[in-house]
Amino acid sequence: MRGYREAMAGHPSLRVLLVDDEPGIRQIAADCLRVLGHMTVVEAGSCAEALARAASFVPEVILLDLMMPDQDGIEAMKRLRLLPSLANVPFVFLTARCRRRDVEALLALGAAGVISKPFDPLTLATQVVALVAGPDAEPALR
Amino acid sequence: MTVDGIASLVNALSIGVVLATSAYVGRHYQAPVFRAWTRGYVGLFAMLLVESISAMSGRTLGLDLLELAIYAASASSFFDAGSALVERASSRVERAGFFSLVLIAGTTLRLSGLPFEISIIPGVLSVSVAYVRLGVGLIRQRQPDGTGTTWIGVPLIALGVLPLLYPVLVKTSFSWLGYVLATSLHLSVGFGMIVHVLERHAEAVRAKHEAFDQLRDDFVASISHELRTPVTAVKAAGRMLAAGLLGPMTAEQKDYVDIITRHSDRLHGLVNDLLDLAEAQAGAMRFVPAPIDVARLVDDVVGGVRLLAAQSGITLSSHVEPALSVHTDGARLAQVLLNLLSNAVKFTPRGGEVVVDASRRQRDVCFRVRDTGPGISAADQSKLFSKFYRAGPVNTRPGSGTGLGLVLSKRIVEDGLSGAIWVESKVGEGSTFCVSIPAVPGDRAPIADGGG
Repeated sequence: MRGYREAMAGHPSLRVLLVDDEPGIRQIAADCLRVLGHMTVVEAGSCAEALARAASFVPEVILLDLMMPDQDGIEAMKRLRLLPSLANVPFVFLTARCRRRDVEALLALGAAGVISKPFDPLTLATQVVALVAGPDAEPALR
Repeated sequence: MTVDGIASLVNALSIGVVLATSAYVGRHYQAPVFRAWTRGYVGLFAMLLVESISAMSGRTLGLDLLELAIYAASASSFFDAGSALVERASSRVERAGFFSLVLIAGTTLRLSGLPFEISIIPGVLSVSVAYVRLGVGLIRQRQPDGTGTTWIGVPLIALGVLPLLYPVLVKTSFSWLGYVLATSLHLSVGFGMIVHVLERHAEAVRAKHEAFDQLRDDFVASISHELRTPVTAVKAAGRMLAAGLLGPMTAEQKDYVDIITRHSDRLHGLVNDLLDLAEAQAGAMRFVPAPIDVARLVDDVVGGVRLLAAQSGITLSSHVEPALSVHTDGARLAQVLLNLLSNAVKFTPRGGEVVVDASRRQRDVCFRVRDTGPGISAADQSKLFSKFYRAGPVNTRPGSGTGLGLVLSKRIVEDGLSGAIWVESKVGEGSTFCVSIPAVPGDRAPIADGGG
């Protein structure tokens, strides 16, 4: 565990809002981001919860599941973006729907990147950091 | 009351029925073709009324000019309707059927120099679109000596059979030429109608199939997605355990975690194959061709099975012709080669050999994956590329392959890469899987240079 922490030491600590309706996946992703990426992670299980959390916790990046029961990720992104504090926050989709055209559609809507499920928990944090750093740093597609 | 008068009246009435039907169908379907058709029948109806009145009253009403004008109007309406039908006609045969109808509809045959004059008006109704095989054929014969005009109206139900009754129906001034013309008219129209009805039927069946395919594809896509969520959790949890993130494990615990990892990987592969196959079958798989360095591609693919080959005690090697390149979708090609290669490794017993080679053959680039496995019988070879089929059970390692890989590979190679995939094998002498794709895509416009 210590070894991974050291490996990730170079990455800046990020404030992440993680939105996924699957508690198991949320737990794994949040743990990896916290432990391996030293990130401050706030979890939300639905779009409504994300809106409520985002008001007080202003994230630097929002990690969003594409398909949630109450609202799909694209709609969630649109609504979250309406909050003035989130207008410029990058959105990264964490999705099982990751065919080429799905990914292209998400990027066209302004997503900073798409990480496909199943994701690699060991490199999740580095992927998020790379995507937030911008398209020059790393291709948007994993 | 003359026979001619009665014939004309019967005609007028039958045309009236047809007119009403046509008008109803036209309203019901909102189709311009039926509106034109109906206009044509209005003209015919009026003309026949005039004709029957004049015949029954036994004197000419001096309405020849009016009659001619009405006839011209209705003929042009028929022509409009026919043209619209020809435009709507989807197949060549159907078009030919309707075209012959239009030709006859728009033309009055006036044969002079014969002992009689014939005008043929195809009072033919193609309400076949509404599945009503109803129509009326009209023959109009005017004797040159001016003794009278005969109209014959025949319901066009039996198409080819009814014209045979003409000689019976036509008691007065029957002519063989009129008979032949009417028969050919009926046949051509009948043909057009039949073809049209068949086309409509085929269309309906096709639509049903498409709806079913769509449903199936949606179902597979949604199931695959639903499956990926638990696979994600299981794989990620297994990976974290295996990496020791949750503390040290005993050897036995590691073994069990290894089982979780391997089988969740397999499940993941199966879900991906299913989704890809559904996409390929729906014709929705996208291919992005770019110049590909073959040596690099083969290296990458071989790298993907190196560990598996080493664990299974199999020698793995590759030979690529120097400076070989191909313009294709590299990711899809790699997917196919990886599938062939992992199959070869899986089905080859310990101590065996798997060789990949790539070379230029005329306009194609050929990839061959050769193994020293058990070989595949001719009977199995023919079924190999069909769904869920696995050659065996000889020497197959348990739990390998999904049975979808080769089906998917075939779809990708044939549909997406414009190439061919096949197997050469004899039982006991190993197998060679070959993929051949055009070095430069011939059927596509040159794609902007991606620069590799």
